[in-house]
Amino acid sequence: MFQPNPKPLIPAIIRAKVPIWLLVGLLAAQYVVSNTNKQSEPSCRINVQRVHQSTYSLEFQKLSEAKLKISTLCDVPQAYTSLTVKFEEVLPNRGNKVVKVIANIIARPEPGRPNYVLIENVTVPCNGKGRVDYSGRAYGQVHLKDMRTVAVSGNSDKPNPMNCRISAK
Amino acid sequence: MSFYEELLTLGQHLHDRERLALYEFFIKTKFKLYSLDAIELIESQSLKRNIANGEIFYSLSGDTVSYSARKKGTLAYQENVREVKLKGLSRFRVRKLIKFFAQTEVEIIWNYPLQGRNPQDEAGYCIIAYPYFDLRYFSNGGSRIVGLINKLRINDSDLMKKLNA
Repeated sequence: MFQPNPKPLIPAIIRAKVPIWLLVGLLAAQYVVSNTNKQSEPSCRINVQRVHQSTYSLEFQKLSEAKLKISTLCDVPQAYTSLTVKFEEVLPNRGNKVVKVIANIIARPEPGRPNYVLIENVTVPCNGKGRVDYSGRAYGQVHLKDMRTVAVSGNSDKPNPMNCRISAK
Repeated sequence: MSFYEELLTLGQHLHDRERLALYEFFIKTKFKLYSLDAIELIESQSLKRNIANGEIFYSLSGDTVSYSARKKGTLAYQENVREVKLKGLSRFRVRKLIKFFAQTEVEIIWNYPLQGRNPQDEAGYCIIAYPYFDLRYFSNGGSRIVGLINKLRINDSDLMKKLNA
């Protein structure tokens, strides 16, 4: 009697030509590579401190000056940090007025501390202005030793009221 | 203490006006010395100098002059802090080198000052990307024409008078 040869519902599975162990190996390698890439993504942070009055200028130069300190810290060594810094005067109910822009500051780390850069010579005179609120803003890039760059930007915490006296200089 | 001696101790407290005045002062008063240094650098491709609390190592490679710097008594240099291309005839190259030397010495005084009244923090090595002999310095990296106009507006006669006293 004729017995039909039923076609299997699922066609014969095409046999994998790549061995399973190789596939597993490749997947594992991909996982490791993507994880390593994630770990080596450099991380840099910028800290723009509150604008404060330069006690040095006031004490030794009889000069009222607003001063800003900025630092950048990365988890890998830096070549240098390149920043533009803005001083803003806070006007009551009228927003902020940029009073000084210092562009293209380049700061290199100390040889003994390659991940960290401190820029602290950023000042703006405020002679005889009386009570003023200043805030600071900095933005730019950190250039790493391995040639990568990381964009950074930051603002000072909150405006700092300063008493700017008359300059004697 | 003269005004110049005081500026040598200010370091991070040197204002941009004072740094610019120092640069002009050096160009004016050290012109001959810088000219001789420029010839020496062109002939020997390298040159060592000191100012304030810093040591400078100039090197000339092809058309490019650069400087490295370190604080006196330390080993590690800040390598190739600034590089400038020298173009044109030897006379123009010497003139450019003179400006480069003055610029470098101001940056050394800024970063490695002599011991003064106030202790200096260890803050890395800071410069402004555009040197004083590039008009873009005076326009914050903008156009040279604006830079020229801004430069002409600067009046540093009070500082120059104090430096020359």
